[in-house]
Amino acid sequence: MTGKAKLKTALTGYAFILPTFIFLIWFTYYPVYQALIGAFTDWDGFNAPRYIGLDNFVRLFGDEVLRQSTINALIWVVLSIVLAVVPPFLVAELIFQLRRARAQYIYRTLFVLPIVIPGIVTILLWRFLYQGDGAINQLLELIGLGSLQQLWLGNPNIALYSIILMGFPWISAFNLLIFYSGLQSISTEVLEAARLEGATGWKRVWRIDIPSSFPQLRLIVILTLIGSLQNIIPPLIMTNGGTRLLHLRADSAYVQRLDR
Amino acid sequence: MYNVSTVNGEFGYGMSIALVMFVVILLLTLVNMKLVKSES
Repeated sequence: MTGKAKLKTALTGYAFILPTFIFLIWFTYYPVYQALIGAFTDWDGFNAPRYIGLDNFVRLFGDEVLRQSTINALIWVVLSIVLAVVPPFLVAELIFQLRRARAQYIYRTLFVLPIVIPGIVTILLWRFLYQGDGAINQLLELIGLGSLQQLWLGNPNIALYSIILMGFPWISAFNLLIFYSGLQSISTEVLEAARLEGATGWKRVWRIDIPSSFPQLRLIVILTLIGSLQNIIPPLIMTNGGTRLLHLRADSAYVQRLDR
Repeated sequence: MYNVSTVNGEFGYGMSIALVMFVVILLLTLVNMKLVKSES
């Protein structure tokens, strides 16, 4: 192929991808550029933006509501990761330790089956349980712990934790299957060697199973981190859309603002 | 960020929050990439 023909072929290829690049630049990179420039301006969306230097950032780092919402988001992320890792791993380990393959199959299916229930149903169910006269408070009354009754979603000190801890016993079917597949991928030679060396029960879990599950653990931590930072639906539904500042996730700072 | 921008009409402030979030997420991504690299 001559140089001219090569150039023609290349230009044809570039012509085909040009529309994609134009849209990519217009709808993705240009808004990012605008946000970068706009961060240093005072702009109401209608009038011309006014350059104010670092004032937005000075305000941002001194913003009490933003500080509280960041703390809430961190608490949310950390607890979500713990709940996404520990219970599913323990259940996966228990299922994996079962001797009979059929029993493993049955338990696996039973734990995975609830995945068909839509998430919104779970959230609405937990909202019902958390109500003032809901099942949790009634149960507490029934067992003589009436003093522990709470407005689970109305008390700013516990509302955040109520929403995070929703979904007891926190066995995510997806995470369970990931951990289970990780445990299954441990070679039988390793397990046999561990058994011969006396690593059984908890010793095997600590020395073999957990270190072997690190790739799965990292995947789940990353997915949970992303998911929990994006998770706006539970606080939105649980609080009936009542929290105007939803990013605060029912935090006390917002309630304090309402009280003023 | 959403409320600051659309409800309060402070787009400039909203964009500064977005920028800070972008930097934080970028740092987290770099840390993760470094960890993944060191493991492999």
